[in-house]
Amino acid sequence: MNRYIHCTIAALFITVYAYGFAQNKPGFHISGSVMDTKGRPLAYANVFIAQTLQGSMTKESGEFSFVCTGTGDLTLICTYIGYRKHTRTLKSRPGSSISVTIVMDTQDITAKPVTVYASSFSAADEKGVTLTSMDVVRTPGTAADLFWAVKTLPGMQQVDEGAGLFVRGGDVSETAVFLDGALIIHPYKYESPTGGYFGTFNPFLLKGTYFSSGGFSARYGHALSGVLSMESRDIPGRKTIGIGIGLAAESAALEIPAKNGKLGFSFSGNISNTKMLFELNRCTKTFSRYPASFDVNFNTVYKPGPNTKIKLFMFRQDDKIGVEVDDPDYSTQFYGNGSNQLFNLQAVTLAAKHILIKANAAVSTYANDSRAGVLDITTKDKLLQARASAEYQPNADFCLRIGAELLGMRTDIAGMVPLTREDYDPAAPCMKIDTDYASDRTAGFIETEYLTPFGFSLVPGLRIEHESISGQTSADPRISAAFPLSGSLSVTAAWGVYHQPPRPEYFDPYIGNPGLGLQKSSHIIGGLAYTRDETIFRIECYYKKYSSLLLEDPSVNYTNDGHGYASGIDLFAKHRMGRFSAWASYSYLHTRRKWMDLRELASPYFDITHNATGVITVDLPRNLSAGCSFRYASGKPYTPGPGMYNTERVPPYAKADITLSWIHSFLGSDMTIVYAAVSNALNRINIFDYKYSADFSRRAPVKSSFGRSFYFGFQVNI
Amino acid sequence: MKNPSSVLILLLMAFGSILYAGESPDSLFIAGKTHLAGAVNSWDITELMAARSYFERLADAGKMEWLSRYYTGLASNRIVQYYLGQNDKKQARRFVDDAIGQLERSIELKDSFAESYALLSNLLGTKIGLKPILGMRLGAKSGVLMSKAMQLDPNNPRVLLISGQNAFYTPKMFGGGKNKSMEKLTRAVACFDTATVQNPVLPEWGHEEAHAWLGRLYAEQENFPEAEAHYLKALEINPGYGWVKFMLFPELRKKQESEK
Repeated sequence: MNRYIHCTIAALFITVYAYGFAQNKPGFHISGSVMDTKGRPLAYANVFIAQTLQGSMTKESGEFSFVCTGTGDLTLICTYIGYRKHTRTLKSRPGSSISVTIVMDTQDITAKPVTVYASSFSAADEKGVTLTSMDVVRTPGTAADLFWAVKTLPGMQQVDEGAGLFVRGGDVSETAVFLDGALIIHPYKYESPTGGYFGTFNPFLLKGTYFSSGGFSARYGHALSGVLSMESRDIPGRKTIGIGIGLAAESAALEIPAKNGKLGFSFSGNISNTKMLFELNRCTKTFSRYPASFDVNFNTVYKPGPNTKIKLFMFRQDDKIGVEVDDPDYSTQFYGNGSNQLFNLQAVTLAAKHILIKANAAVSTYANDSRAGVLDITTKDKLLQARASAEYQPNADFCLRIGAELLGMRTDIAGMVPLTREDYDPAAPCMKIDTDYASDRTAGFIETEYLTPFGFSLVPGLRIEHESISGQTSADPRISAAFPLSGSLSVTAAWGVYHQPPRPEYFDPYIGNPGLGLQKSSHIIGGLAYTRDETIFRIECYYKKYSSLLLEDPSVNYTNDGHGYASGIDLFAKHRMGRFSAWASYSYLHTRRKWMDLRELASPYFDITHNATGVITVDLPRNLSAGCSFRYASGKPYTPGPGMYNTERVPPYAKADITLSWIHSFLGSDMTIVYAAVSNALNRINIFDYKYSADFSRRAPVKSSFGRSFYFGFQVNI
Repeated sequence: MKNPSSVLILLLMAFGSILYAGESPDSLFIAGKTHLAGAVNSWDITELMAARSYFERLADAGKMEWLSRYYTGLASNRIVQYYLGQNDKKQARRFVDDAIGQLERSIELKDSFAESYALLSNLLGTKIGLKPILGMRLGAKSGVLMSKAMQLDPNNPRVLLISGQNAFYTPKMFGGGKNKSMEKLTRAVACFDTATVQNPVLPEWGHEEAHAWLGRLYAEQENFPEAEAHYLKALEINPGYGWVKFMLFPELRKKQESEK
């Protein structure tokens, strides 16, 4: 026993000696400070030597100090939540000291820069949320449609009861829609000359949405007025089965994650048949074929490594409609059949430490058969596109983007068309068309985002586009800036030039003009933005100048002699207080155009002077949620007689909607949403236009489809 | 090696050389646990941050990374609670996201440790509290994680404690409610009473916390004697437990006096 005690004492002596030796070795003294890119000290940052516990935490002043015992090359690490891990190599010299200054960069190179763009609304879930998928669904009167929800934002004109995006005095064709970088040339269901009744994509297929009503960056082209850019969802977090049944639609969805979150599949299908909806709610229109649609989506996302993502998005949608045409001269039915397909392969990779590469290739096809009286035409579009861009962001203050695009569009049009536009009288004079067009576009852009030392950010860029039929090349300089006046208040400004080619059929030698060129617009925007916690307020003024617009011409069909302007003020306010959330938008617009059949400078049919929307949602006890919205818009211009281009206006538009939803879990693990909606609660029949007889002696109003109407359904997610 | 004394000397020399290198894995975790427990008692943000930094360094050094990540997440969770108490939601959001990331990584490295799932489930609940709209997406996920924790270790007292806390904040119709919470916390206390420490590096926190939560529930029901008994039990387990000592007990006294 005695021997054990001796041995233990000896061992303890050795241990204490060894430990003491370790502690008495001359150390390498490291001190310094940690700050963010604006020079502000960061308290509680963790500074330490890699693979050891030797380190320290910074004080309120951002300073730290510790002694390390290692020798040779050491890796110093600094971490701070929300910032990118900082590492640097130090040469350890025992007995000496070193002082270092560490500047921490914000976390993720793929994160959106802090720049506030003029006129833009981002709906990415994590940042500056303005409009999320849930906002889309919860906003009364939007019928859970993204495009309808976007129409509640400022700068949008309420032209009819469809989903068409008429932006700041621009026609619906002047807003480009993108999904995962791919241009979507037919983004509407039940397509019509003013867009369509609904958007093609279900909001729950989307992760984020960016909408710009003007002054958008050089990354986006093919548009004179606005941009809606959507991003599809990533790998699902868990396996989910969703089933939805409503008065006019049934849907099913399945989401499956695999390979430890590296792979994910999402499938969804929707069938819409509006017969019951229209019959129950006594529709003002007569349908020979109730609007019906079917769509299916399959999305695969694969992450082969931590910095690479590959996404394949496949989508198909079919719709059909048969409706009576409002015209005092004749009676006929309009029949439409549409089919839309998209295959988009996208890859994103962090190729080097600061370089993000994005590329996508897409094929989309669209076919539409339209019949109404004398009109009997089939249109087929096929768009092949490839796009690549590189983003170099060495720090949070600077980002350089450069990219290139190739688009090949093929259009086939065959059938009979009336000689006078929109004259579908079965006895009207008509002509036969059977032709095809090929239009190729190439584009490149360069853009930088720069946070100046004076605290304001600048985004200058240049976009160059070439269109093959016209043979024209455009060079569009653009710049936007944000000047922070305080932590929550900033001034924004943007200026830019935009070009858009006419659709290929306008180049036809018989019905168009092969000599046409690109249409042009320029935007000047200035605004003030206030964002603090749960409150957002924005005011913006803008002026847009249009030139080289298409103008009908009796001898050569169309020329580029059209021109015009649009100016206005947009207001947006959003606030959340406890259970209540509210937002309101107002737009004032003054626009004149000499364009298409407007032979003199006049109001185009989308010149809606005042547009206002107010939305309130409230979370009630027992998981009930209610919301109501009210929209008001000035009357749409119409032409009451020959040569009196849009000199009169229809009565103002007004609509109130109410929704109620209830969330419940019937089985403990499910999430069931039961909802009911009253649309047009004031039972007001809005008039969107008057159709005149050829001699203007009689007219028929084009009215809204419903008076007060009801909708209900439920959605179960397991 | 026949002589047992030489074996002992070699073992102790080995221990000495570990000390020379600076670290013994067990002692490192025990030191970290002690540090974090002290920080929770004093409810001092600098101490909580220091405890979090310590475990983050352990994770970087590769010392049982799954466990280091768990403790880093646990420390971040305490920091979240601190900032919520200060009504600083911005900071709370930062640390909720950090804690979630740490626990997800811990689960990735060891998917059989029930307590990581339970804590992650709790953090998702906190995230929903900070941004209710996320409830639609994260509510069900939180439930799935808690079910997984219960499936892996149904009698783990910390899993039951967290389950009781979750039930406290979950509406009755979604399987929560005060009665459910009390039922789970009572079970948690019973499991704490019989639990034995099998491995000193593993978590041991929560015994006094379970009594504190039970006391809080009884106080809400105005069953003051039961509430007091649980608070006293919590202080008996941890005499320095600041939450009971400086908040819950004084609140109870006030209520008792106003009843008189």
